[in-house]
This record gives sequence, structure tokens and C-alpha cells, in this order.
Amino acid sequence: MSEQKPSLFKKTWQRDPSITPNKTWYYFPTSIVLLLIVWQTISWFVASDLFPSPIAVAQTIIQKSLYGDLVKDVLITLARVAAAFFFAMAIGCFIGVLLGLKKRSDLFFDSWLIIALNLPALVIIVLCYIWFGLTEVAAITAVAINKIPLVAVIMREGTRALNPELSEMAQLYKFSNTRTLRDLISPQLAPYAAASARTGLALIWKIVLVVELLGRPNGIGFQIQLNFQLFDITAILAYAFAFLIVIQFIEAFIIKPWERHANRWRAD
Amino acid sequence: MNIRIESKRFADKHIFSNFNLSLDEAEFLSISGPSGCGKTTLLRLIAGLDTDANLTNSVSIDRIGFVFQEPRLLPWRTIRENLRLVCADSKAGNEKADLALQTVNLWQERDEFPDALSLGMKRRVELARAFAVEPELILLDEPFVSLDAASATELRELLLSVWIREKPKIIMVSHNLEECFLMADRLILLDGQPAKIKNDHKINQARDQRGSDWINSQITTVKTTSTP
Repeated sequence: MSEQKPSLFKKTWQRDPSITPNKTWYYFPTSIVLLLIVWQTISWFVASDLFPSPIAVAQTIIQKSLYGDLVKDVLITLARVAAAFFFAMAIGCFIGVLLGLKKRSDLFFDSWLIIALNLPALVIIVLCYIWFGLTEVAAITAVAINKIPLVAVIMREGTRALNPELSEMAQLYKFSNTRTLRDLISPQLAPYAAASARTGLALIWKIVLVVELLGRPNGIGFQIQLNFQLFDITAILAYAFAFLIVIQFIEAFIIKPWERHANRWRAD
Repeated sequence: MNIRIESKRFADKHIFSNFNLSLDEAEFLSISGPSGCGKTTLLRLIAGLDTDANLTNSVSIDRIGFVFQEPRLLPWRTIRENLRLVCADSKAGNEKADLALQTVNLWQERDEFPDALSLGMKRRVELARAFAVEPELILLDEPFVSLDAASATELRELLLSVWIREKPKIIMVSHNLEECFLMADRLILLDGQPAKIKNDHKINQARDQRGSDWINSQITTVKTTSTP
């Protein structure tokens, strides 16, 4: 009698009880350290200013924070990201929920949404700058417009997936509008809002850099353009990584805790 | 209370046509019949969850309690919060909700989320929620199926005790004739398409004198006297 081998899929799909937060907490720091070692080693062999080592980048980050404008530029970019994120989420959620609820509007405006989804970011940015001038409003509008259709699509799916049986229950027990929104709808949309927030943050900060590069006199995008002209690769990486670190903090201290709180009722 | 349904269709299926149902004050009515004859549809029509029919009701009912077959609790709210949501948003409303939770013996579990509870406990929460609105009418859709005997008995006793105290009208849909004879004042058998009342049977026996022999004899009588 030979032991039957568990199939690959079965093994992948089953929950592995040995994977618990207590036992895997060191995965994240270890994998980051490994990445830094690989990077450092490659830069050693390349030995060129065009491929700076992580240590050189870190030194530049510290130096530019202490004696340069890095902190100011990071904060400016962060403010733009925040503004664009806020508008994109608010307007995108509104449109998405509306389309999810109203079938006729959805059928009618679906093609608009597809066109909006596929408009190249660069086209929107250039048009906004031409129409509204090289202003802050144009920059933030351009970024928000890029993000709105994505939020709308995700929130539309979330609204379509609202549980009709629970809605009937709420109707029967005469939930007020406030309670319907707060206790019935929002908890069901929260995972979708979290998904669009997470993908949104990543996309928005990438587009903000392009917007800054094309038409703003400050921010990380502007600095990258400046250092590109100076051919200072270390500085380019320093600005990029400084902001990546900020995004990691937002993820770890705002988005993740909120998600945990929103999902605390799930059995596992 | 007189309910009249002119017509109710699902696509090409005629579920109700000129259907009449009357209900006395504080009456405990049970409805039985084969699957798909429109029992659940009838409850949904009465509750106003299905408005796609010409239904007229001689009295307007403001407060309805509904015990769904599959418990419909908000999984992201604790059971205490679930009950508070159907009561007024005030101190008195909260107290009413807490009292209902105590009535069904779930005070200990008040801060649990529904997913952590067994089916029997979830049905108890549903029952508590129905009681909490001080209903004029309670509708129950197969409230005791898929429960073990002990939980079912406990739940039946709970329902009867509250009914005796508050005297709401009750309409209970059940496949289980034994259960109907054990609990109700009146049994209606539905059948056909469109559904007709095949048998309208008053149950006058006192509830504490409904032994298993008596129930079995009643079931036989009902089955033989039902008009085809």
C-alpha cells in the first residue's frame, strides 16, 4: 500500500493551520533585508554611479532631508495625493453606488465608463493643463479624473453584490435612512472601498509624479525631472524611496487597521 | 383581518387567484401544503416584501415581526446591536431590545457576532427581533426546520409563551403537521395552482391536552377529509 500524495491544489487551497501571525511576523523584515542585500551585491559588481547602492541612496535621503528640500517635497506630493485621493474616492463612490442601484443608468452610462477607464492618463493630464493652465487645481483634477472610473467600477460591483435578503429584512423592520446607510449598506461596501483605496493610493501617487513632472515647480515629480537633467540617479532613487516609505506607513497604520476593524465580525 | 389577493403570477405560473384569507384577533394560524404551492409567497405578500400583486388587507398592520427560514441577521453587528436596530433609537428602545434578548435566554451571548452562533441560536435571535418590535402580527417561515429536537422544543415553547403574553396574530408556515397541531389554533392546507384552501381546520383542544395519540388521529382525519 502506497501513501497517496496530496494533490497540489488541495494543498494550496486548504487552510494551513501552522501559518499564524505569531509564527510569520519575521517574514516581512527578512524579505526586505534580503532585497536590500541583493541590491547591494548587484551595485557592487556594476560599480557605477548609474546603479547606486542602497547605502548610497539612504545617505542621500538623510542628507537631503537634513540640508535639502526632500521633506518639503514629500509633504507637497503627499498633500496632492491626499487631495486627489479624497476627490476620486468621493466622486467615484457616488457614481459607482448610483450605477449599481439604478440598472437603467448603468446600461446607459456603461460605455462612458469604459471610455473613461481607457483614456490614457497622459492625455487627461495634458488636456487639464491646457484647459485650466499650469495650476494646482488642474494638477489635482487630472489625477482625480484618472482614478474616478476605477473607483466607480469597483463600487458598482460592490453595490450589485448587496445582499437583497438583508435589504428586505431592513425594509420589513422599517430601518431609518441613517441606519440603512450606516448598518446595512456601508459594512457591505467597506471591503470594496478598501480595495479601491489600496489600488487607488498606488495609482494616484504614480500619476501625481507625472503631473508634477509636466507642470509643477515642486514635489517629488519635479525633483525627479530636475535630477534626470543632472543625471543624478542616486537622488532620483532617494526621492522615490522616501515616498515609498511614507506610503508603507499609510498602509500599515491607516488602511490595514481600518480593514481589520471592518472585518472583525468574520469568523476567521 | 381579511386578506384578499386578486392575482399573483410568477412568469407563466399562476400562484394566487381570487384568494381570501381571514384571521381573528390573537389567532395562531398555521399553513401547510406541498412545496411550491405558494406558502412562502403568501407570507411575503402579507409582509409587503412582495408588492407585485393586487393584495388588499382590511386592516393596516404597522408592526410586523418576521422569522425567516434562513436567519437574516446583520453579520457585522453583534446580536445585541441587531436587536437594537429594529427598536427606536432611544433609551427605551434599547431596553426593549435587551429585554427581548433576555426573553430568549441569549443575554450571555449579547456581544457575539451572528456567525459565532449555532442555527438554533440564530433563530432565537430572529424570534427575539420579532418580539422586540411589539408586533401586531408575527410571520414565521418554517421556523423549526433543521434544528435538533431539543432546540426545536425550546423554540416552540418560547414562541407560545410570548404569544400567550402578548397575543399577537401569528401565521406560521410549516411542513410538519405534528407541529401545527401542537401549537396552532387553526390549520389551513394549501394546494393546487392557483393555490386554494383545501382544508380549514379549527383546533379547539386545549394545548396541554394535545398528546401524540391525539395529534396522530388529527393528522389522519385532516388527510382523509381534505377536498381534492
